[in-house]
Amino acid sequence: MDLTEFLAPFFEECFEMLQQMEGDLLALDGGDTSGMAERIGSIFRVAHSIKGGAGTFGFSRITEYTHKLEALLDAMRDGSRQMTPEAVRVLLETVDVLRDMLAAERDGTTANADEIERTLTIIRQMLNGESIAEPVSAPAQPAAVLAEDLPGEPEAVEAAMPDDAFEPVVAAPPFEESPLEDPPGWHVVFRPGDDIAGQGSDPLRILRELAQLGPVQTRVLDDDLPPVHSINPRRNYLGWAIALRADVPRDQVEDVFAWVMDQAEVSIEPLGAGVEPAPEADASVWGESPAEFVSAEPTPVPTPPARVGPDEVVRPGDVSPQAVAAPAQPAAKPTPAAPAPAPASASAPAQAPTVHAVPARAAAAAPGGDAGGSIRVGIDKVDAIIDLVGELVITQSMLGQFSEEVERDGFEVSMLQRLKDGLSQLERNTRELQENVMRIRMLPISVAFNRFPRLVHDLSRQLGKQIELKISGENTELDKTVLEKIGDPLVHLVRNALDHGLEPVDERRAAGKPDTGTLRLNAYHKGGNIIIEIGEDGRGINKARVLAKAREKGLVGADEQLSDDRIHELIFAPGFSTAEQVTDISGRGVGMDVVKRNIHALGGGLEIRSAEGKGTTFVIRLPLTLSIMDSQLVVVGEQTYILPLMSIVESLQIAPDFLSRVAGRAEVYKLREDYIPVIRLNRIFNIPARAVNERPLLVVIEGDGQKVGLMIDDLLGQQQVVIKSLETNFRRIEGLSGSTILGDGTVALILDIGGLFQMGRRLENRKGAAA
Amino acid sequence: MNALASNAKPRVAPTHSAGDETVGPIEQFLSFWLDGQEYALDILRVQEIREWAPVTPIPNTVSYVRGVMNLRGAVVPVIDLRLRLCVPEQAYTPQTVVIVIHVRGDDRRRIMGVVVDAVAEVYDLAPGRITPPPEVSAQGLENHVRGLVSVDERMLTILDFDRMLTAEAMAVTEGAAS
Amino acid sequence: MSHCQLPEDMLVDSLSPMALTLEAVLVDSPDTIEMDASLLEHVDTAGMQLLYAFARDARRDGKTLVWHGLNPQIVDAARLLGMSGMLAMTGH
Repeated sequence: MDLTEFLAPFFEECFEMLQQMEGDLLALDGGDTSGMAERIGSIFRVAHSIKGGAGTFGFSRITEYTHKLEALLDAMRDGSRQMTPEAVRVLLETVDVLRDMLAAERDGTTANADEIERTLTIIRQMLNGESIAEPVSAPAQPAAVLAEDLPGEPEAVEAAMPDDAFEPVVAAPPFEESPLEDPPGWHVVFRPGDDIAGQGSDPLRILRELAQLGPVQTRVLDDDLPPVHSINPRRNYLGWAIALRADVPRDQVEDVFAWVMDQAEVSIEPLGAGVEPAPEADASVWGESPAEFVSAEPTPVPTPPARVGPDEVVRPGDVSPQAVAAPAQPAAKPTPAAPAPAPASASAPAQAPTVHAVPARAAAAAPGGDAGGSIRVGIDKVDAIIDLVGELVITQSMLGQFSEEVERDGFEVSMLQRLKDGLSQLERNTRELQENVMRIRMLPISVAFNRFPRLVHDLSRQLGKQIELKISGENTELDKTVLEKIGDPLVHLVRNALDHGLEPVDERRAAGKPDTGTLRLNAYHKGGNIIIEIGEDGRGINKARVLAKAREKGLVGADEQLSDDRIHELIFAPGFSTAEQVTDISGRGVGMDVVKRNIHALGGGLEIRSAEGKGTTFVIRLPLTLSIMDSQLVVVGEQTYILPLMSIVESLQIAPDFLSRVAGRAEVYKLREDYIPVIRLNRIFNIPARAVNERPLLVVIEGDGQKVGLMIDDLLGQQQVVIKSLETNFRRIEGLSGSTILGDGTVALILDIGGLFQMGRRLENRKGAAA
Repeated sequence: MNALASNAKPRVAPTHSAGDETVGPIEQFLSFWLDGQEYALDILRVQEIREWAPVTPIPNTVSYVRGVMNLRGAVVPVIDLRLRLCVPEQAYTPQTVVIVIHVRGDDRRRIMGVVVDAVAEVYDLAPGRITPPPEVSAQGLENHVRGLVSVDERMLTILDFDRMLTAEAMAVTEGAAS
Repeated sequence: MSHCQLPEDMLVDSLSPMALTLEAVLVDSPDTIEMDASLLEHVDTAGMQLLYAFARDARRDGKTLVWHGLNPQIVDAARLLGMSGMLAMTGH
């Protein structure tokens, strides 16, 4: 049997498993002993699976190696050997060795034999219960070194005797036993609307975020939860009462719920004061013992109206064009009068030409979409699609039956409702099908986050900083293509945060901060976007220094005063770098401008929040997918164009008095205190605008940190569009980033903001030259 | 499923058997009318024939690119062959059709629509009967013509769309000219 | 003893088939239900809600859940959502 076609997936899986193994090891290294046995088991399974696969493919060196590793892990599993910090370090090295061996098999190269031998020797020694003699490796007392580096775990230093297991030493007390006398804190009652998931929010993520403020104790409010057989899984029936034991300001707690304030009932009360129910609160209050909830009979918390069922039925007039676009494939109509071709042939009877038509390809290549590549899809996602196709077929037959009835009995007004129902069902089926098909391409952001524990682990040593990495929202899903393209910018931002953001220990001490700095990676959905936050509690952006540098480079005038935000934005300016010296970590060359440009190229945005002395957070906003975009339809003359919603700042009616020409050149519009250049879309596209339009509109768009007003005739609705490349069958056109198909089946062109800016600039220059 | 069969219009005329004196595989050609002249192309390049329907114009392109249309979800450019071959422009009639063809070039295959006055017939032709184009043709078509063939005393011009519709030929006019 | 293998993902969009399965398990199983979570990697609130309802109904019917192969993230999710007790998922 030819196994080669299974090789690529095998390697792919192995690397994934090794990543997982690394993650487990790093968690143990970080002192997280929760589920120690589980983790060892999971590490064991990785070694075991790789051994099995390698055996199948005849990679005997890998089989041998993993066999030894497996033996050691098995001993750890049954407790006859301990998972010591030293062992963790060795196992991390075996991960590297295995990666090397696998890559060598894959690429036909040779793995580093010395490393294989060295680690094998250590494994053997550990298995034999010998102390580890390690002549090759540099650090003389590996265990101690490792322990010292453990962030914020002073106990671990004492504990780092070679044979000590983690468990008894650093095991965090389970929450239930946490000291109750912790004085201040907040009592939060959180009742999300029933459609919270549909709004793109996950209460679990919010609770996780809340738990980052301090220890939480949660009680689920399940009064409305029906029996399992009548649950609609998309609907949320639960609420939560949470005791947060942390001395944090109220707005920090509020911030956690900021994204869901409009989709949830949230009450936040001081913990101690909770005995008397707050005015418009709340189902439960704390009893004498704060560890226990006393459930008072609920003051009815208004439940938001159900948003499932009939409400989902969209009025026929509202049918989203996009949803209709897919099936709206007009059947070719027979032409009534066929023109007799002049040389009416005498030979054969008329017949359709016998042509082997090539099936039309559904050419829907996303811009820059990867040509090859494979994707592993959970069977559940496929099943969900099959279910939906089943529903679609039912709807189709229902509509078919209806049309037969109409044919037979004629149409009566009373039948209209049935038709409408059928169509809205079709609309719903199509939309759900589309969503589910899109989900096939969705992967959790953890695929990108996974590399960071190791990166942070290694870099923090290299930099001599103590850094704790906190990751949350790693299950947030996004399109595979976006995911692949965001990897490098993310690494750059993380390196930058470690290198420039977080201070060395002495500087932190001087500033009265804990020795260990925190790097936080968080991801969540908001609307149709994924938000990725990279934050640290480091020194923050030194505004004075940035400003001085910008003045020195002539980016800012000597007397120009800038707001904090504008100063922060300066670090995205090309060629701007305030690092005192170039380091190995963030390197030279790639600046923040490149990161920002990369993110813009994905249709996203990058923002920065920084407070001097407190830290900096970069916020990346990305579309969930590159093939669907939230858009605004605009009209110029006879044509409808699509603007990415993300690029629109605002739209306004043009006040003619505010429109002026500077010295006969560029047309500008006075927008509050600023003058922004105006682009007339009809001019750069050489198309007629409406002959008479008393009230042209200005859409203010932003790209590359610059604002421009786009003059158009009219605004239509906003909708999601499926992006179709123009290059598939045609070519790239300046000022356009692609096209889409509207609900009526026509093609509409998508405007490329960057391209428009350039075209606008050129047009003005030419005018200037001519003037 | 034969996409062409289901989309083709009944007007397509019977197959001509135009000569079997040359040995070799018979090729089929679809012919069409343009300004009173009959042209033809390799039928294997034809995907389907559609009625003319308004398209979405593309800004700043050469005039013979009428725009793009929606072909079952694919966005396909539509070329006006009259304009491409510098034949006087004429208002579209109910007979005006779009022949959807495959064009090869630039290492890929693209789908395009070509607007012609009307489809004519399908011919079986032995390759040997096709003669190379004359050095200079009246309309300066030599770069677009694969050959000529006479059928029933008439001259049929076989076009080479791969050479006619290269990406270069679709070149964009200079943007924002006026 | 009845065995219930949970899928890799229990996320809001993939739960419809699961709800049916769980219901069937509840009806069919004798006293102890063995919950195999060794594949289960990703959960969200909707997934946990479904498990919670299942556990509650099972308990109401006098049945016991025994977990296998729980990944720490799932245990943590149960804790954060205040479900550890009902799910009998109190850590390891």
